[in-house]
Amino acid sequence: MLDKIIGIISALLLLFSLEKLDAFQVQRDNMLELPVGAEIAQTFIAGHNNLSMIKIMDTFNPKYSPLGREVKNDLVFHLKTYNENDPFGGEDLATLVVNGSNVGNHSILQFKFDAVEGSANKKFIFYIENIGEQGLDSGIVTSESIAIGFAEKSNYEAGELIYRHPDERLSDDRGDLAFTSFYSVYPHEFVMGTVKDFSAKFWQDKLFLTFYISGIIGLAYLFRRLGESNNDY
Amino acid sequence: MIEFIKHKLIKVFTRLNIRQVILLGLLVRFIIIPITGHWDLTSLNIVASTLIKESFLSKNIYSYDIAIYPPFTYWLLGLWQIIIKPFVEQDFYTWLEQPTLYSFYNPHVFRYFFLLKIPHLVFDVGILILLLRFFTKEAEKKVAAVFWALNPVVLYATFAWGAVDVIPTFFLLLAAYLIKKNKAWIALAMLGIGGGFKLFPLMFIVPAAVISFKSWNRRILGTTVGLLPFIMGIAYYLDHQGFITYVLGSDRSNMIYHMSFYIGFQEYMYLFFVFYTILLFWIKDKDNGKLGKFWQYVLIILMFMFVTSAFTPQWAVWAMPFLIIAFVKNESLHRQYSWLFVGYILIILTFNQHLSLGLLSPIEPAFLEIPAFDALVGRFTQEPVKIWGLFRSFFTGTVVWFSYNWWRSKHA
Repeated sequence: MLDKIIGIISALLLLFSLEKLDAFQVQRDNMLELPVGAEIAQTFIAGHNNLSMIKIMDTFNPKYSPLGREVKNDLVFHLKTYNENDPFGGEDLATLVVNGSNVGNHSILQFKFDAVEGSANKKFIFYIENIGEQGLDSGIVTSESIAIGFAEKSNYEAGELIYRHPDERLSDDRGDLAFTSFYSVYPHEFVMGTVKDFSAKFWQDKLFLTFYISGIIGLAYLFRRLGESNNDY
Repeated sequence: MIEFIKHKLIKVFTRLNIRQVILLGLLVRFIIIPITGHWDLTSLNIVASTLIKESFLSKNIYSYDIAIYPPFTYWLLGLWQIIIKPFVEQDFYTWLEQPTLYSFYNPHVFRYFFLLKIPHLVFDVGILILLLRFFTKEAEKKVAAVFWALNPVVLYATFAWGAVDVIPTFFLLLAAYLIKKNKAWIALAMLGIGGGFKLFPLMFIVPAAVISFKSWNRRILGTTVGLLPFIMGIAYYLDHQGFITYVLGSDRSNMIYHMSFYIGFQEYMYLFFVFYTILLFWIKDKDNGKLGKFWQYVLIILMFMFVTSAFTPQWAVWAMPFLIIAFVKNESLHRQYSWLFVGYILIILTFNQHLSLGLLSPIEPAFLEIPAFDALVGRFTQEPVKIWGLFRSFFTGTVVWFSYNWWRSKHA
């Protein structure tokens, strides 16, 4: 009976997957505009297989500011393998489109795609481009570009931010985009991985671990002793 | 089902003595405290760290838009940061200010969350000790101890989330206890001190003065004594725009104005204050001098506040000691508590994963990525706020039904 229950639970668990955090850089102290024709890219190294999601951690949408206009252009997200000689010329792994009007303000932009098998320890590039027409249909000059949060100082050593603009050459290192990447795991892998990571992290702080375990044992011992003495309050 | 669980629990807890119950509560807290966390707690401590980095007289705490509490909260946390200094590593302040994801990956994350929640534990134990003093029978004390020590709302809001609401709640309960003991002047001062941590205890100063004193002169003097500690605490910051905007003018502070009727000429009638005024007259005419009843009025006001504002889950801690007193004193209400709890769970579901599974992020930051109920609802409807409104309405129904049954049990 127990075998059957475990079997059914395992089968159910295999039906869906969960995302675990992989490479990330979430510091941000400035915003980078994404006008028509421009591309904002970030290179990174995946730590695990089955890379499955990228999140841009901070966006600005001008439609939420007082004089801002609605951005109706499509923003196209690309994930590619990284090519040393031509950063944007690698193998295309995922292309997703989001309309600018759906981008929030100071919110997260999420791109989920089919898991990339064998992604562990490989370098990738993701970038967003703004396609469509530029133009002002009123006399008010306002920003009409989505902007993305980034850190001016490079915090993420395994990759870099690349800003490509029609009027500018490929820029030098400008820090890093605020991003997180994820890999997908089955629930049982998630549970096992969590237990493993948690115990490893707990071991890192041996001083606290000693205090914590002693505290729990001490309280449990006192609890038992008080039960034996059975003296009420 | 409820009866079955109730009998099982009674069977287990009748074997324990009160000291064991308290120890069990401590053990559960000890386990929860380091492995759970939320940036509300780190934000509070970032603000408080300004007092350490600059000076205890620095007004710059209110330069942060996240500084939404009166100054006593930051003074206490700042003082606590000085005390724990020998127990933290050099990366402590960097950890506080890091983006949340980085802070969850810090090797000392468990130690830091543990240390930062110790002040909560002190006031939590204080509430338990005070609660026991509301009862004379040993059996009643034990039930109260069980329901505070293992209270899921307290464990969730205070020790997993790290909300500081337990501190002003302690002062509110202390005031109710002191009034019961005919020490109204000190009680009023305690309400003022509680208001220095979070504003809500100030609501009870006038009812406390009205129930405690017969003459209007004394009531006015009592109200002044109650407000004095609060005013003395905030006076120094009154010329700081941040304090005016973020504390006195915050959305949270003004939530009780939201349930209102438009009465013309740009004016509104606020339902909470209509009820509050009627209750003051009721206390004056019906229950003046009945000091043992003050805790009941605290509960009534809080209940009305909960049904007239979109409160956040940690506010439930304010009412918890008083709900426990009512629970122990009225056996017929036990079933109503289950429904109140169901309503409360629905309120928690209206918040994102940061306030549910995300609280376990120190263990595994990926818990922040598991979609909570709010995200799932958002996939099926364009207007999730309507669903949240339904949940709030259900909770309101449970509160009204509880209040009706409570009233009936007292007049049966």
